[in-house]
Amino acid sequence: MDELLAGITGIDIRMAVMYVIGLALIILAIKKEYEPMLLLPIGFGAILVNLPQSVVKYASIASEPDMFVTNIIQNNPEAAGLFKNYIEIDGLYYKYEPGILQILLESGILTELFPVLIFIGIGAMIDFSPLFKNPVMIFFGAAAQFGIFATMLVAIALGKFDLKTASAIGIIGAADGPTAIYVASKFAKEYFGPISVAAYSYMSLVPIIQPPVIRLLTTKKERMIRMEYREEKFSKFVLIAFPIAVTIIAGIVAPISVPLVGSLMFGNLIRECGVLERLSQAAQNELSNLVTLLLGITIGSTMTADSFLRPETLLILAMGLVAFIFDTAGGVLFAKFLNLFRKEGNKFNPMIGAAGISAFPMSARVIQKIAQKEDPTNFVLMQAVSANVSGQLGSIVAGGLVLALVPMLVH
Amino acid sequence: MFDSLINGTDFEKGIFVTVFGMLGVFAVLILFYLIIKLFSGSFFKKAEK
Repeated sequence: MDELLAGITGIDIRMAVMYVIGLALIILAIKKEYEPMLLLPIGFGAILVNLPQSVVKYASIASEPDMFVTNIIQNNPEAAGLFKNYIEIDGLYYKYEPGILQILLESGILTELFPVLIFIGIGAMIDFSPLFKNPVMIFFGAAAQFGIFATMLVAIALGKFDLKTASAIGIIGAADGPTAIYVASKFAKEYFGPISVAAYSYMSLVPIIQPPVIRLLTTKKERMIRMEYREEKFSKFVLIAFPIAVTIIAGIVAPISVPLVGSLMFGNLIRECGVLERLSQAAQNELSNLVTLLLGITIGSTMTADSFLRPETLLILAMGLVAFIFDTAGGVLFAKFLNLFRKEGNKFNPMIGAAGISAFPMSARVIQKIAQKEDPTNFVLMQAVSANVSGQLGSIVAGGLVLALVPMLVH
Repeated sequence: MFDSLINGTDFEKGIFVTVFGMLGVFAVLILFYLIIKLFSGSFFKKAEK
């Protein structure tokens, strides 16, 4: 009889809270359309994994601890990595059989496979043409990465996170979900769920986060600055040679970033080469959709009540907001700084700097909307799109540099 | 200097990552900018003028 009622008696208040969180994510995805492709599967995964005696994460767990493995790990904690399929419960290690979501986590995310496949799809979707038409905008894609590093410093200053975890939290400021997932899978596996949720949630909140920060840092006169639009001509050769050159440079500067940059640029090369239309379409559609589907629900599976319901989760969600605010401020202030050296009539509209984040094309649209609100005849969309595309490059470069720099400083 | 940084606090390490991270992002994107200019032939066009 007890076994029949195990499902009902197994529910505790923490699980119920996770159902509410999962439902909230699903509602945000459906009602508000906040990144529905990711937030809906994440929300559903969070519910799935918190069902009592759920077998989706662990198909079965041994009833007795393995004392041989427990003794070894207690004497040498670093040996924990040697033993696969063991879970720690109250200091004792139990053998488990992985469930479907744990198999996906171990084989798809912890091996970096899903993020890399997603990057191939994203690469096939990115059109670098707006950047080639207006290459000077690339510098805003660098300045707007300031949020990553500023947030990392704030996270360290809070005293709750070490350098690796703080840098993974800072990467939320890349405004680039797959980069955040990639770095978190390397530096902060225990905070994987909160970091992923924050990265995708704030990306969809760009229209709410950016305008007040921009208004705070600019005058009405600055927001009304008109920018002459000049297009530089470029050949098909540029579109094809660029991803190859970027991969080689990134590989030399930060070898650890090659899976990230290389897969993105491989996808882009498939798109631009002109002879692989079928593969390009497959990468943009079938591959991206399938991996996104599995990625979302697998991220949700990391959101067990034990790992998600802790004060650090709230801090990480708050840090995500800080990251996007610093990103916006970094871009805007950099544009204002450049304006100090530019002649009257040739100045940047400082709002363009805020479009240097990776949230494409949402940020460019937000900038155009604010510009038109100030002056209905002012069009800065093309410049904002160029800065936005460069943000996609900047975020991945910043992610690669964090991956290269942080391990150098950690014992 | 680098050895002392490795033994430093996380905040000191964070400052190092911030400075070199931002410099690195700018350096790499400047390189990309030059590549775009080079591939687009802008340098050559200016030389011809």
